[in-house]
Amino acid sequence: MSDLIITGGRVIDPAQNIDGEFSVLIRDGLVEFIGAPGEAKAKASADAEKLDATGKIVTPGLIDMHVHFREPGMEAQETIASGAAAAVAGGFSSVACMANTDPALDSAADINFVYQKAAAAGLANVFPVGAITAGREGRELAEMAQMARVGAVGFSDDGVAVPTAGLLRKAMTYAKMLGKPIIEHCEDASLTGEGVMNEGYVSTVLGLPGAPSESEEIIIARDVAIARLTGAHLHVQHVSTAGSLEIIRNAKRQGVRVTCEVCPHHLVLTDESVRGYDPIFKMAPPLRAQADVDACLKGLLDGTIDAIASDHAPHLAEAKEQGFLAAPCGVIGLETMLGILLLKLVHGGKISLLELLPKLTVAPAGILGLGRGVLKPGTPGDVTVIDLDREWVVDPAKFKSKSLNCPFTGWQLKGAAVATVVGGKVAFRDGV
Amino acid sequence: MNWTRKHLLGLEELSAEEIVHILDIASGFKEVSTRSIKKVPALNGRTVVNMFFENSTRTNLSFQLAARRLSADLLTFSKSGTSVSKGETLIDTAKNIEAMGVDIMVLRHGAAGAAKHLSENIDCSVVNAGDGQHEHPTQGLLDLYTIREVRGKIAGLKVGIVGDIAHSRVARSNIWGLTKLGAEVMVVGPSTLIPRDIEKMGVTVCTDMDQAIRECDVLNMLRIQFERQDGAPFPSIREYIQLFGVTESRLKQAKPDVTIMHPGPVNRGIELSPEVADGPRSVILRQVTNGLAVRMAVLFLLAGVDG
Amino acid sequence: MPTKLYDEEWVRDTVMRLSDEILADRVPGTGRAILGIRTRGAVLADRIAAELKRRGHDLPLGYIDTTFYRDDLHKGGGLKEIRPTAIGFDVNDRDIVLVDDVLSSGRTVRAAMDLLFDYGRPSCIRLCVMLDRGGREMPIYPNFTGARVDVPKGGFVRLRLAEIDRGDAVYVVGRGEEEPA
Repeated sequence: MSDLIITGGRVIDPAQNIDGEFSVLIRDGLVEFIGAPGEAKAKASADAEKLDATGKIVTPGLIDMHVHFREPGMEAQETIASGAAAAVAGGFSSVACMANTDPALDSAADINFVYQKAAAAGLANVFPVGAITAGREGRELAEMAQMARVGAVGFSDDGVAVPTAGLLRKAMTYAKMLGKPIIEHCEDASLTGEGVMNEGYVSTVLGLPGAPSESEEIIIARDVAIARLTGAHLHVQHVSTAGSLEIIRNAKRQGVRVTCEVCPHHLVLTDESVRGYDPIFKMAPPLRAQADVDACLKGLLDGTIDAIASDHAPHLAEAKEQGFLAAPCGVIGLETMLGILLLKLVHGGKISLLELLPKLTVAPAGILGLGRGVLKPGTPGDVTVIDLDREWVVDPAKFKSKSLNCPFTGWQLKGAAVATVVGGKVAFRDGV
Repeated sequence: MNWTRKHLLGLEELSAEEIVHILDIASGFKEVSTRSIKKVPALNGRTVVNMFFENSTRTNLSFQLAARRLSADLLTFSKSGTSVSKGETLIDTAKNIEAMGVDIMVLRHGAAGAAKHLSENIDCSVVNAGDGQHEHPTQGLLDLYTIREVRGKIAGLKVGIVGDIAHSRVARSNIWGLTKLGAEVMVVGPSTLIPRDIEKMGVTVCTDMDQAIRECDVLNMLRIQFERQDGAPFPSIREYIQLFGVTESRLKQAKPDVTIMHPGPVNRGIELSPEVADGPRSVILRQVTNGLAVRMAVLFLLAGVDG
Repeated sequence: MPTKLYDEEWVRDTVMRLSDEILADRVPGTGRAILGIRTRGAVLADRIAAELKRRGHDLPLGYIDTTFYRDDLHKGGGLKEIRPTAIGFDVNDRDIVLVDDVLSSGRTVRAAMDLLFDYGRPSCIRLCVMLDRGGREMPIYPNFTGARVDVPKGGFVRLRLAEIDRGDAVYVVGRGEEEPA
């Protein structure tokens, strides 16, 4: 019997409406008890490991449902082990990693590979998302059932959208049978064209080819229509425009089974950041206008946006140094996401902690069917301890991630994870 | 005024006063080109490097001659193709050249922002000789110089910039320079080549060439490229000529003193009919002459600024 | 406050005297021309040329700007307005009188001579200055001098001419003192 007792903290579990000073007892990897400190202490074994969370927030382990761990194939950028280390350092006990590796995660063997690597690392739970189409080539369906059988939590060709409505219909129909979501990167390749940033005044002044918001919206609209047709669960990745949110809001109102996520960078940065031509600000979808940022915040508050995900996308420094046109899209985010959200949204007065936490716990767990994100006896003992007031400066050199492509370098943040517990094991602790 | 800028990256960042200062200094250099010995020792002992990652005979030659007429030592480095191969980035190349002891780098590059990127990574001065579709400040300056010389002023003139506005660095530099100096700018072209929100740069948009010809004091005709990676922006050359080509007969409706400009090389019979290109209203060759004086002024001013 | 050394009467008399000397010195067999060094040397050249013309000697007159020939570009700053050099005559085999307001290190005159040789080969060059404040760094001496002026260390001497300044005068400006208008 192995016990971990977390004492003194303010436990917030949005799924159970728990908010108060309690102790959490985890036994053999599962939540055993939440309740009065005395009672918990009485239940705990004499040699229980202790985590003193006095003055801190104790929540279900945070979940980032959208990361890229680059393994297999691009291990210089990130590995499952280094990514998992970055996850727990950022407060995330679970992540879902995307299939755009090289080769793509499009078979049961690939899904097993991810679980094995994650188990060997022994840090975060890493849940693989399988490719929708074989090789992510957008031609034929991948063996989705085989992948689901060994634990793929959803399907996505992330990086690109499924190219045709016909193929998407098949994929959604099939995924529905498997009870898994289709997770879409919504972008119309022909409308994006050569676009490397948001199309608008800034792209015009900079002389960089832009991609209009409609490039994203048109695919979301198509996908919603197919979700309505098939009854499948559509999850839209990284929404970034006001128009996208309008489409999703309407779809939800009409009962279409659609969920979506937003990335921290789309909540706090605009295309004005691109003015210096720094490829660190190049991502897909691109940073948008202020009106879009405002719409995303509104979408978070009114429930149109279900989850917040980092789209943690490591790239080699050399790749990002090729200049804005040639550089690949993406930023790392696992180790800044919580700090950015706490500083800009919670301390910034835009959203309360009680509104924020579900987007990082119970909501993504629900979308992916993880059975986590809640501190109920019998569920996996994943806990994150947050210090709301810890001030720190973003320095990617200190990150666990192998890559440095962080758009928030030098930012002074307020709020950080100080301990991450995964299956009852303290996978990360910093000063507690 | 006291010139303090180390780099010339674009006209967006310059004040009206700075632009006028460059034009004034250029007047001094224009005289040099009329002498039998067309050379001054101003940059004696300085080294200028032309780094051209895109083909551009004219701009390259103009900068070369400008450097030589200032008595600078000159290196030229040309490498066509915009892609910088892995392992040797623009910055690597530049740092290697800079290590030989260089004072000014003149950069032409296919990527927007390349000059800015370079200026942030090396110690010497950088002149942007065209960065992708972003800016071509010396072209903008020589256009301003020519308008001021021919028309005696810039403020109050209506200047039409005609053609592929979306992909044109010349258009952007012209728009910044002209609007800062008080001209009224109209961008004219097929709607597929007018970029989003360009009005916010302080210009009006017009797709009717006849209206533009009637209203403008100056028509700056951009070079049209027919083939683009993202597909042809208009159905045919014939249709382009019909809509936007300037011919003698069409010019009959223009103001009598209209000035016709073109950054070159002209697609004769397309943007301009040969009679118009070589006609009395055309100042195309004067633009080339003035380009030299403007580039001498730019090199001279940057060389006078310490580290 | 700068000290006023000479007034407008002195300036007028000195222009007359310098014109006398330039006429007396005339080299036979060559065409003489006047070249003023911008900015105040050019104004002074205008006055001398006008005086000579009044006496029946209409000499070619030109202006030079030595900025592009200066050897102190690397020291930065101080780049004032540049006005084109304007020499509307052939300098070859010409007897040139260079006119400047103040002679000190001699570097401006050196630059002016460098410039002149880019235009051709004059048969001789004379130098006329209103004020010589000493402190030469080049082997250059004026042929015609308005006055020699002692200036305290760190100070300057300034010629002011009505065409571009508030009036005709010569000032000595001590260290830290304001420039006269």
